[in-house]
Amino acid sequence: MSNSTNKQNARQPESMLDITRRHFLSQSAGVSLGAMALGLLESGTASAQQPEVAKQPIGLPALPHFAAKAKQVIFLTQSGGPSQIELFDEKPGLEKWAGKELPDEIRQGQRLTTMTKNQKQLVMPARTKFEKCGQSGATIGEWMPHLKKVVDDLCFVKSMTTDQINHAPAMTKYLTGHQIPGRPSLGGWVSYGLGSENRNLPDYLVMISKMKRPSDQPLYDHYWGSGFLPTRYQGVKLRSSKEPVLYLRDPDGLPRPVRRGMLDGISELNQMRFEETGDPEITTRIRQYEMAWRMQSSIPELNDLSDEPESTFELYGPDSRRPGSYAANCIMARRMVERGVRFTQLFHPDWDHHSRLSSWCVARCRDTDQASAALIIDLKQRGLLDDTLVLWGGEFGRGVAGQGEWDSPDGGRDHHPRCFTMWMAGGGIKPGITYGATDDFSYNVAENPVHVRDLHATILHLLGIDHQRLTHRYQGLDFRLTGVEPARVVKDILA
Amino acid sequence: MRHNILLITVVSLLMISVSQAGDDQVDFNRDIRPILSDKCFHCHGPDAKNQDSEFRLDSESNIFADLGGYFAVVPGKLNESVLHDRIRAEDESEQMPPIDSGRKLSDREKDLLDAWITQGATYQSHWAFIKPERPKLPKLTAANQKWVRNPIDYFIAARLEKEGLSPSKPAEIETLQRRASLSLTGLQPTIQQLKQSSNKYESKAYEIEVVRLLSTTGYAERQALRWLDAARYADTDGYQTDNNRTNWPWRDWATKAFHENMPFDQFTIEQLAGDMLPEATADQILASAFNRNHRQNAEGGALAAEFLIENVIDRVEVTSTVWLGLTAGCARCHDHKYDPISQREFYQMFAYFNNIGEKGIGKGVQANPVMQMSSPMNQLTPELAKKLADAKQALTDAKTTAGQRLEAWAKQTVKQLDSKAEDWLPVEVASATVSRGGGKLVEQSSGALLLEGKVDSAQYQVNFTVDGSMITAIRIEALPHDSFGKPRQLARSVNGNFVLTDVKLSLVNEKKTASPLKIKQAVASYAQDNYPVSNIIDGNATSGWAVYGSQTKPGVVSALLILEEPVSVSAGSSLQLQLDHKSQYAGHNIGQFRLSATENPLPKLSGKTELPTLVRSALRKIAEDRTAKEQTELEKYYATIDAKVAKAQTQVAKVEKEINTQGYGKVSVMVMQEREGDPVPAYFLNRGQYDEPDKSEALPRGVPVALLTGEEKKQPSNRLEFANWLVSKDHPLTARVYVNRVWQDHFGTGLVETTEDFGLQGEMPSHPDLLDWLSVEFIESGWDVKALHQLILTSATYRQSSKVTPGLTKLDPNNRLLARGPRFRMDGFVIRDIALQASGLLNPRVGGPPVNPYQPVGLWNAVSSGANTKYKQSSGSALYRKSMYTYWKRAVNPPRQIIFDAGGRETCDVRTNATNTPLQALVLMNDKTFVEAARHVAQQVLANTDKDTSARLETLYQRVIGRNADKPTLAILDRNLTFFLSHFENQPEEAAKLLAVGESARDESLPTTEHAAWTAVAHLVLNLDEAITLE
Repeated sequence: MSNSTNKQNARQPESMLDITRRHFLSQSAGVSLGAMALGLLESGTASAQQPEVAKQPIGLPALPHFAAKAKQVIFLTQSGGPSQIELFDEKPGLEKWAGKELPDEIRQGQRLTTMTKNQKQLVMPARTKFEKCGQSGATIGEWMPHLKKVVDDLCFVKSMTTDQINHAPAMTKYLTGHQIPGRPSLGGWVSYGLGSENRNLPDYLVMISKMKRPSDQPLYDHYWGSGFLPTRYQGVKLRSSKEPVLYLRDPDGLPRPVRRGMLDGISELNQMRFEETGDPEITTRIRQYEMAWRMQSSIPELNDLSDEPESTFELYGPDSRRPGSYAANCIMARRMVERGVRFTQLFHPDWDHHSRLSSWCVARCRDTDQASAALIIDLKQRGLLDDTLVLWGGEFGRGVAGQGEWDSPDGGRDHHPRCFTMWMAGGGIKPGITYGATDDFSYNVAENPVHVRDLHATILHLLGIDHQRLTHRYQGLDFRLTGVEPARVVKDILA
Repeated sequence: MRHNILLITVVSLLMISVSQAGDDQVDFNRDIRPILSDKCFHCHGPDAKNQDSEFRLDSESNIFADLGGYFAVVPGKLNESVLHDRIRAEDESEQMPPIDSGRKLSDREKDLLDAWITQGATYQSHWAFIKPERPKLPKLTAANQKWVRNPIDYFIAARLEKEGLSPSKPAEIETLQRRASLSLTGLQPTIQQLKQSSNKYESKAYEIEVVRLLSTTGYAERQALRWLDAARYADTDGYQTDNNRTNWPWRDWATKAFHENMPFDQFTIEQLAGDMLPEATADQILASAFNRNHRQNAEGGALAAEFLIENVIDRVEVTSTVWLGLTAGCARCHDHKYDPISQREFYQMFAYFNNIGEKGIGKGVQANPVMQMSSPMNQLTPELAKKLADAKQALTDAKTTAGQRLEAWAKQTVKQLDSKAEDWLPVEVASATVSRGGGKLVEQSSGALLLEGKVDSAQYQVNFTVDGSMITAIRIEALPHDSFGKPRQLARSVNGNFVLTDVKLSLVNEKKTASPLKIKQAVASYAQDNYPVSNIIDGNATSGWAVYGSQTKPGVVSALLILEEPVSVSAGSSLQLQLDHKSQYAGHNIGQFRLSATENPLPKLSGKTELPTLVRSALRKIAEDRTAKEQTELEKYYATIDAKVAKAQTQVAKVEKEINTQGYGKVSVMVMQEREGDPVPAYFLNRGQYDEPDKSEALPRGVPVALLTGEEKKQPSNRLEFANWLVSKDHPLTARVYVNRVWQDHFGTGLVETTEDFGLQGEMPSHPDLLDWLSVEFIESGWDVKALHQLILTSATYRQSSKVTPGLTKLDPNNRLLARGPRFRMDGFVIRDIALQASGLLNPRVGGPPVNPYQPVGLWNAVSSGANTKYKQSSGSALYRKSMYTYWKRAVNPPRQIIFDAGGRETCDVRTNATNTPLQALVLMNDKTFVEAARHVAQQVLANTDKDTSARLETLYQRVIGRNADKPTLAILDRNLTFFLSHFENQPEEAAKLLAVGESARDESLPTTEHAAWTAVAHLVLNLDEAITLE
């Protein structure tokens, strides 16, 4: 029951040629099998530079629905809920409210988490100073000095909003369109709809920052899962370890030449089985073994930053030399875009600053600021930004009231779903603008609300997909990423 | 998925070919309702509230309604039927479905709708909502008449005749035997079984084998595993903290039920309402854990009210999918768009499941109602059983000899009884300070000490005197105070809980020199799970005693410190008590407490020694003067305090603990327990939001009216009646839905492909009469599950060869017509299990706590927020348990199973999926599990067969694939073996590395080169398509 595309187009796998050759050779006397296997190794070695032999199956037949502005996506997911109040959404009037109770007409009975519901909602003004930057004059807090350099390439959406107030449901909603796990993720939908551009790498790759101290922000597999779509559409997590993809490394004692020989044996017997049973699944399986073999070279090649010049590391900052860091992952994201990976998603955890906001939030900015900006610069100078949509944001924002003592250095902010800020760049996004606004307390959206589902509709639109028409039938229903409530493409931010 | 689109096309093509080939009669259920549901119901369906149009097409009365002088459908009169006009309208503003709806009718669909009207527009209720009747067996051609073995085959053959196809030849016996073994038990037939069958090449042998397979625990485990997916069983709570839970005795309950062939109606009733059965047994209450396998939120900010609702909704959804095959969840926020389930009815079903007094949040192991329960499949190992028997014997012996030690004790005790030893003596506080953390202790008129000030990690130092010569114990009473945090109110912390981590007691003499006193034992009136009072004297500064719990209320909590030796506090000297609070939690210091002391030789928390009157009077007499009764009572009493007895008791406790650790003891299982008294009211939740109940009306319990059968249409009044209703003889869905899933297990696809949806958007059955026949048969057999499996497996249909011909691939790529036997990739559980089985490593233990087999290092890192979430790999034979026992963590599912398409167990999962991906190839090629298995397969072959290479290759192939290899296969394997041999001869260090993979020991007597080369061959065979395919 695999995808029937494979069944229909059951082609001769590439290795079939090798097998034929091997049959031929084995007829001739004096050729040792080991030598042949080595010969096969050469012809079978895959690398990123190698031209494609055959196109991977492309996604759904009707897609794209219209011309795409972006071919690829990099989603810089900031998990935990970064504070829009410190980082982007300047509210100069808040000082005079410092320590006073948030007016009821602003709060409007908004629900709180159990962490602060018994506490008075006393206003805590931003802990940062802001600067109007670039030609656009967008406001960026002082904790992100590097981002100011690329501000005119960015589009800030200050009126993002969601319905979920706790992390797991909010992140699930942010990435799958629904708060309960079980739906396909954004990246999964895109991979399902558009298929792959690269036959040596998966369509959808995920990287999680390796933190200097252990994170307490869990990141669940379903955030990049395929839900009810076939599992081949789920994000493949690249880990910062010797084995970036699970089970990628050959086991001890089975080095590449032996593995190649074994693989040929498998293909030969599987092919024989196919001739006996006629099941096209077997042909697909032969091909998937070859893809797995190629991934064993292409992934380490992708992962190996030793071919990057010194200037790359200078651009992305000192932390980029630490494998698995956010900065190193940003370099990886650029390499993936270069190799045609459709959807790349980074996760950086620990933006959940209930207390000690002014020390911890600064630390997260330090982890990410330079590298995020560098990624924009790097993509731009390589001419890749036009085709690549870059997104930065978390699952919700943070509230204007202080958590703990509002005037103590230990003060923090609780979760806030009603408004938060994201920025986007590249692939069809209008650069140098700010869209939407919040009220004087950065509490409610004052104009042009962008719900999470509007964000999804817009991302799909940029990829040439009509969100109403990208559907999958499951349990008798045509599911779509944007769900049943109306979603709109935010046309005003499109270039 | 393009696959589905294709499938829909194929099925509709098939349907059309039927209506064309046979009669031209349009069938409403088969041809018309799917079109209406798919293309029209979104705006003209049952969800009237959320539709712009008032016109509906979802029932007979609606379709034929008078729309004000005109009609959508006039039977037999196309020109008077507005539906015809609208679907054929040229004018875009008239056209249905509207252009901008994204829905479109094909020409074929328009023709069908017209033909239906012309033919008289016969209406039928949705097939799945009508009670199944046993259909007559169809008539067959003579050839097919010869082919059939049981009634199943009549229906299959009849359909094949219609399509002009014939069934395939029977599969070869060894293939068939392997197929049956895999689909019933998830295991391969053993070599011995294979040989037996080869000798008796006849159907009888196969039939006997099916019966044997049904009697194995392997069968029961396989069925239980399929049930676990449906029941969203997992070993953690899910959500942010993803805590460990211990519901696995329920998993074993399911295995036992399948093993004993519990009738499916009883199986249903016990799981849905076992707690409500009259005089319910512990096993029946355990069964009700089915509906407690939901996720459970313990995240810091989570609201109880919200997640209580989520839990109950989960029960409604899972129960609906598993028994009704309906997607009731759609009706949570609005009336169902396609099926006759209104939003109100959804919350009426909700009302059966919301009455168990649960809290909604908190860890699963404490999420009441819970029961302490051991696994019903547990059988103690002989070693443990002996250990326990020995310990118990020692205890009996100690009790027998206790009499000899009694008199000495009696003499000493009677002396103390005469003193006022039994009272709690007040202490006089000389000084009380907070020696670390700030704040101060203020003495109250009650003698209590009250902490003032905001303090973290406080240490108290209290010096006191007491008027007594033989102090045996000190008591600390923690006292509530109104100003403390609720609910506990024993400390100035958020929840009023404290953690006392360390206690030290010293005697300070006149010269102010302190000498420490040894505390023998600490006893508490209450302790929170994992925070026993023994922690305060364990020398570990961070472990502590705490008193929180899900049901706690304000009240006094006491701890008793029993001294090793009685101490006398003479004038001028004093006692010094140091209390330490070194926990990580803010403000968790005892907020108010009082000290007292006792001279009681048998100190007890309650104060007075509970010496029974008879014992008391007996003690005052010498042995000869005691009555017989006094003597017996005295001996009985003494046995409870004798040191030797105590020691023996400790040993028994130790063995029992070991038994527990190995999973034979009791653990906390979340179960259902219906509350006494009036049920908790259920309300209509606006938009499905927990905080938007419509409190104007408490909804009566009820199931969707469309599903009610019988004349009086009586609604079940409680959960037990609900369960009985599900398995009533007239129920239209339960039998069909279960039969269909069993069919899916054996053929890879159900007769209804949408296993989870029998509603209007579900697929029509490929063989409706067969599904009905099997369902009626199932009910009338007394819901006999094994009989159902047996019927399917012994049919000629199942016994066909699975060989695919090019013509058949084109006509029926997914084998829905069953002109051949099943062929599909097995799931990740089976793939690993049969590799272990071939290697001889498979550990046959059934049931017990979950295990942690090999898993890539660091996989849990992204979700571990505490030390207790590190993956701790099992050791020894626990590494080789069946995959169904692998610890199922919701946040990070076991990678092997997930890569092979297992559901995530977040919610119920009844449909199987079998994709074909490169990641699967990577698992089979590189996972340690399969390399180690290969090494053992090689070892078995090399150690147990003669030296003939070809015979060895044959054995190897048999072990892994479960059938015999043909000549060309053997030739290829032989070539590969030669290649591997030459490689490892040249690279002996590689051979050593390969043979070192995995924890298990290697047979060192085997030569390394040979063993490595054979390991490589075995690994190759384990990777073959046939190794992982049921065919």
